[in-house]
Amino acid sequence: MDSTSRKKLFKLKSLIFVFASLFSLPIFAGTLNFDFVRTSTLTNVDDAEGRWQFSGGKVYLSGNHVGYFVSKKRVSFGASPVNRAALETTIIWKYGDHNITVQGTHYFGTGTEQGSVSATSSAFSYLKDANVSGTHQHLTFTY
Amino acid sequence: MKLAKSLTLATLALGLLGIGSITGSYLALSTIDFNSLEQRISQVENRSTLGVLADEIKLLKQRFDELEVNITSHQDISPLSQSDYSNSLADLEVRQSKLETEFYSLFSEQELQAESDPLSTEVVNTQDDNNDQVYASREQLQAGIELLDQASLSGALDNASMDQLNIIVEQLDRESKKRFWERMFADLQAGKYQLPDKDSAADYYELPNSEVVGE
Repeated sequence: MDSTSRKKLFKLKSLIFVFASLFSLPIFAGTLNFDFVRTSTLTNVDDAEGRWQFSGGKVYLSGNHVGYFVSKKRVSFGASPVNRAALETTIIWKYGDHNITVQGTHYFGTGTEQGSVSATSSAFSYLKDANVSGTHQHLTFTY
Repeated sequence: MKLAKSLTLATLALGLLGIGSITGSYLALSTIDFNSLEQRISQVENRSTLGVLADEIKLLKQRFDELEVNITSHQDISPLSQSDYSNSLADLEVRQSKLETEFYSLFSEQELQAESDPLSTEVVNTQDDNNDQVYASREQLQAGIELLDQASLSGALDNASMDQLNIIVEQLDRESKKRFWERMFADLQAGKYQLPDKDSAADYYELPNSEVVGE
């Protein structure tokens, strides 16, 4: 094989490697910021083991009303030293049968929340396992 | 004895002639294939100079140019077969086409160039992609984006369009869903339109007293 053919072969192999490399490059992280405005009365329901705390309201994206949320927190006397509740918040999309559920914890000391997306409807499946952090009024999804 | 020697020489000559003709035809075919491949490579190279990946391609090509000098001086590359090259190239063209339609179409070139901060470690697995599904999903995504374009222009997203979008989004693959929602979220954040107030499929109701109200 002469050097011209060898060069052509190498160029071709290089090109293949370039494209293969492109598809293994990390893709860009996305973020999504939702604001939560409670419209129902925050309700505490006590029992022998601890307390349920229920709330619900509207979800906004940069001031645009995009859905509603339903949230419940479970406080256990067994975990009282950490001053945190197990949290589950479901965002119900305003239009269509779409939803996103976040599970994590709520810290009563500062109102901060940490967790991830644990379930979604099919339309939002790309958000599954997204990291979620913020407060009960504002959550950032990083996926 | 002479006859046997002549026969052996004749057989050898015929054998050599046969091998020569086979090799010749193979080489001729190879040259044609290589010329054709070269044209296709340059086409793919031309297409790949668009958008956000241009810089990465450029950098990688610089590295390969350096490597090429090293390797051609040492003469130690192991050539792949013709079919390997053809198949790889065809695969590249499919991926490149997918990249252009699913990625480039959603962003302007400036936006693509500005995206240069890789934060996620998620890797797109293109090995298992079913081409038919990818193409179908791409078409659906395009239809969805067109509806969003119309809404952006008119400044309103009506119930009929939203119903259509809900159907479309269910048919998209994971990556296309991501692209679709990213586009819609960007539009909503930019205030180009708002979601309709009432879901045409939903009823307003008082607090339910059973799992299916009205049963």
